[in-house]
Amino acid sequence: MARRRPGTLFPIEVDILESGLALQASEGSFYGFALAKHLSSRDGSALTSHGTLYKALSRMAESGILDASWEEPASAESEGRPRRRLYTVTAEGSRALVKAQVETHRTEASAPRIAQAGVTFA
Amino acid sequence: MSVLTSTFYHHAVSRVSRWCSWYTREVDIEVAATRRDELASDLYEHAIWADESGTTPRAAAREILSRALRGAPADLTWRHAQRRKVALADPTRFRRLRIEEAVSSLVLVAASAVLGWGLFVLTRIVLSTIGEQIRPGSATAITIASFTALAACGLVLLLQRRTRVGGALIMVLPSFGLVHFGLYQLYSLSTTVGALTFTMPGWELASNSLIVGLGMFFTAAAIWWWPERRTTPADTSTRLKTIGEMAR
Repeated sequence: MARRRPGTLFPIEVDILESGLALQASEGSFYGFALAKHLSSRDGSALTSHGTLYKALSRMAESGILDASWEEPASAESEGRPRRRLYTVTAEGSRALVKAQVETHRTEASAPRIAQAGVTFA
Repeated sequence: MSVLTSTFYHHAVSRVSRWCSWYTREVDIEVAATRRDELASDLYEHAIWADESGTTPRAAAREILSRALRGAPADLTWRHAQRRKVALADPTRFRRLRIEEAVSSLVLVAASAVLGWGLFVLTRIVLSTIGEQIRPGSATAITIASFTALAACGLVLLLQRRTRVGGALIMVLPSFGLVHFGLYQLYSLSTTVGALTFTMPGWELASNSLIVGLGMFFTAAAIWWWPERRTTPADTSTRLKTIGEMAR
């Protein structure tokens, strides 16, 4: 199992935060399957597996990156469906995402320089 | 036909739910319930979405099973992490579970060995009968076949938590029968057993010790697993009443 350096995010967590924020902006919160659909539509891949998705969501909720709560039973009953577990990205989650995005840009920016240096040495 | 009412979807949901029940067992009750409810919601939303996007029930069911299969390694690592949390919260219970698992494994290995021995002797009997070395349907052969069948029953009972006490007790009988009559039968069929019987002075003592050892082992396992007497609510109220009277 991959180990996380403190203060860093796994790629799936970055994707969840990006999609989560997009869904949160339009719906106010998001739930597991809506997130799986959004992630799939972003890159045209298959729907995220149950295990990967819900393991990541529970880990992120535990670490305070996401806030999780069960939907009111009345609204689920009125629509005749099971209750959804609703998530919102916390302020801490937004900060962690910005930090991860900055680091990704920095790595991408430094990569061509390393490649050029490699050409020079060769 | 909608996905939600299709047989394909129901079969897929049933399989995924069974898998979920398996990997959430012995995990914190609340955490397990959250995972099960969240998955139930996901499966429902998946069916609705499949209907809206015009996916056939068969394709939707295949996609659900594929998601479950691809996520199985993550489910197992999640289970491991959750069990670790439970263990850290209650180390005594965790130690007891580890001992319990070790005992179960040992008993299953011993029972499989007894059954394996029975099948080996039976195979030798069948081969010798085909080779016309012994006459078919001898009393010893029938006894060994019966004890082998009994050992198979015992092993099946040992696999279930509810029936394992009975399984352990049943295994005492084939332990005696298969070792005693098996060696007796092999004495005439196997050159090795025949030679060992004559050359090894402690042969009989060793075989008798094996019989007694196996018998004691399976009896001890049955005692270890014997269900504890549960305190009924009536017992508790009587005890509370007595304590109340003593206080007065």
